[in-house]
Amino acid sequence: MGRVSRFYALIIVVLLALYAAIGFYVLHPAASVAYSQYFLSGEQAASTHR
Amino acid sequence: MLSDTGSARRQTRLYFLWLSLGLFAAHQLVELLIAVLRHHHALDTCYWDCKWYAGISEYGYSLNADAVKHQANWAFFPLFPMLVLGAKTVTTLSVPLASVLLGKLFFILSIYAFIEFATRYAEQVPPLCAGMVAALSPYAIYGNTGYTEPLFLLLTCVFFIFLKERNYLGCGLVGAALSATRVPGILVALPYAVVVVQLFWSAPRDKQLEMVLGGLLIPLGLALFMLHLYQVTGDALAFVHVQKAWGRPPMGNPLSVMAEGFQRGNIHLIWALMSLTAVLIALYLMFTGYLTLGVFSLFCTLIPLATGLQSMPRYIWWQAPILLVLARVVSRRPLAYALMPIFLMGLAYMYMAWMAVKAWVV
Repeated sequence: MGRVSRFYALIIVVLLALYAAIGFYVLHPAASVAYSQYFLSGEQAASTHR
Repeated sequence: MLSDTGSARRQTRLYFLWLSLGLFAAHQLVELLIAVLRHHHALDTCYWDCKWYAGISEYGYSLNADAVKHQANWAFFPLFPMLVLGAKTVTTLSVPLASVLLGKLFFILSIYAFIEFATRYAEQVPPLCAGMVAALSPYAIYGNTGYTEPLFLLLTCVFFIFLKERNYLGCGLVGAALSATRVPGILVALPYAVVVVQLFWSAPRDKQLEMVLGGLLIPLGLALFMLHLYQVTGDALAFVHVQKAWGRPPMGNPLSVMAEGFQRGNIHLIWALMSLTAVLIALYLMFTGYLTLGVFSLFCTLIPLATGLQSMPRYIWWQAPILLVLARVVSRRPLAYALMPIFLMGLAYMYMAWMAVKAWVV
């Protein structure tokens, strides 16, 4: 495996780790709890918009 | 011999560049004419989404939604406002003016990129026809209003050129920028997958690594945006959830949305007809040897359509594959003679509506 290929493989591992971290921690349902403090439910917001 | 080919290529590029500049200038003349007639400043075109983007450039993403309408700038993707911030820092222009001027710069580049894209994917399309479709169609107005559409078209054209040249890392890097530009930007992953799936097993190991890396780079822009939203609001998907504040469901049935548009009539009927046309064009591309372009256009139409009809023209008429089909239609002479005056009148009408701040033109 050449130096460039090893570099590509390293970046692939870093990206996979980043996406896994986002999937497990950031997109976890509990992560959205804080959001509810800032925003109404969809129905309320839509009726206000209308 | 090689030097002759290189020289011919340079000449062609130079011709495309002058053509792009000429067509851009023609578009500016239409805008200027309407501005003079309406006693409106030609550069004062930063309304609606442009103001949202300008707000992001100046103050970043907000912590809270608006107390009355519940809207927030989380719906708007970060690449264009980041570039505007850079332009503002370098030039000391006001943010709205920097947005409009940077949008115009991307508009010129997108016309050029679209001509390059069109001549690679459909050699029979004359560069003039391709350029005219990109620069003078009625919805080309968004190239002059500080919106993100020209950047999206530019990056999409570059992406598809790289894809045709099998430049996987180039695709990955441009795809990463696209996924940070607009919601449909991430969808270039689909045509990328279509190509890679066909070639992966027969490719040498080094090339396989490039293919995987290119594919993994595409969502990077969106991933970083989501991380930032998580940090600011506590919800990485705030850009999806906040759509409700504009009266859009997160995901409806695109067919029901279209059917509702047909029933409501007026402008909704026109938007529904445009959406149906876009879906048919995408299917036509898929079954006539342009699977990559067709797949991209199909999802690029259906996903925004699932949230409503309001902004569909912007999602449809800035898609490179749809414009390519339009350029092929326009390149038949009798149709070109009939369509181009209609396009120009449509563009002038759109400017009148924009300067009169009509909400349907958003």
